Amino acid sequence: MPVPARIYDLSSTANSNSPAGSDSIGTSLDDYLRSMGAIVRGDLATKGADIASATTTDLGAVQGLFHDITGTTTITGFGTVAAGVWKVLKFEGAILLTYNATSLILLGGANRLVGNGDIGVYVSEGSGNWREESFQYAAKPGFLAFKSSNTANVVGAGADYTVICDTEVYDRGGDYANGTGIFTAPRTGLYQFNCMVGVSDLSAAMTEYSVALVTSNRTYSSFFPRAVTTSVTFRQPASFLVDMDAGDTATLHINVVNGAGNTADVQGDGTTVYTSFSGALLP
Amino acid sequence: MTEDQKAILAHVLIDPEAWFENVKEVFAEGADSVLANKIAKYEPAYREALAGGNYKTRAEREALSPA
Repeated sequence: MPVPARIYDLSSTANSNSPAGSDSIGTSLDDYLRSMGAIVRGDLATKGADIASATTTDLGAVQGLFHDITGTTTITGFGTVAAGVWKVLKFEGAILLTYNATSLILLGGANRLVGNGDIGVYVSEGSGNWREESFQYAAKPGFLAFKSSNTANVVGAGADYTVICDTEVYDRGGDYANGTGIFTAPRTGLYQFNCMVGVSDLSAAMTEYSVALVTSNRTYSSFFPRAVTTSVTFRQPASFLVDMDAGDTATLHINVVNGAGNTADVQGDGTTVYTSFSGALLP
Repeated sequence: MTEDQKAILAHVLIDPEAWFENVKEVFAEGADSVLANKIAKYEPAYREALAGGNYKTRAEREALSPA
């Protein structure tokens, strides 16, 4: 007739719980009542102790409904606990959750790289199997930056120029480096990039150009003939929907060809946006 | 990175070492998790291509393709 200590010690069948009608209570009734209070509060309405990430991160061993998960060790399982137990986890660093169709069923059916502040809800299915019921990233990556001044004599005869938009309008998560023009994806997913490149001081010989998004996994290149070569300026928009893995980079490039020299300028201005680069992770 | 990890990344990246240097700078102590995520995603395709014979990295493939 043990006094239950954790919610897992209780049964959803009333007759299976202690004390039984035939048990001699003696002076133990208060122990049962107080333990029940502690179980309800401790397992259903308490932020439990932090749990260090481990290959098998044993969620059931620590009392509480909500836990911070520390460290960066790859997790392949959450340990064995009774089916129906819920845990709300807030991750405090980059941790790889390894998908398994039986033991760690994650939304999306693939590995998940979590980051600081991300929150997931997990329910035990018993026998060491867990299912992710919901997941929320802490921040949705997105940025918009523009070029604040002209850069002279950089394109025209085939030189590839990496466009650096040095002025950020916004940068949720700080994923765009305005000193280098490099966006680093904090999450794996589909990203929508929108670009505008302005070029001036063009010669009539500079008849073609391309705007490219160079990502770690592949290069997306658009190509344009200049319809009116008497104009000395163009502003070309481009957009790309691309897949990126966490850690992958994306940079914006412009290349103008057939000129006698790289004598054309990439436009920038402090107030009017001629050249810009923006991107966001799609839901 | 191990040589095997570099080989796996070279299946999809032009410059695996530059990629990982940026990851270390951006993700700091989480860099190994980011690396593990990338390796796990591309290792099957790399092993399959390697087993098929006449294997070429992405850089080698792109050097052979017309511009």
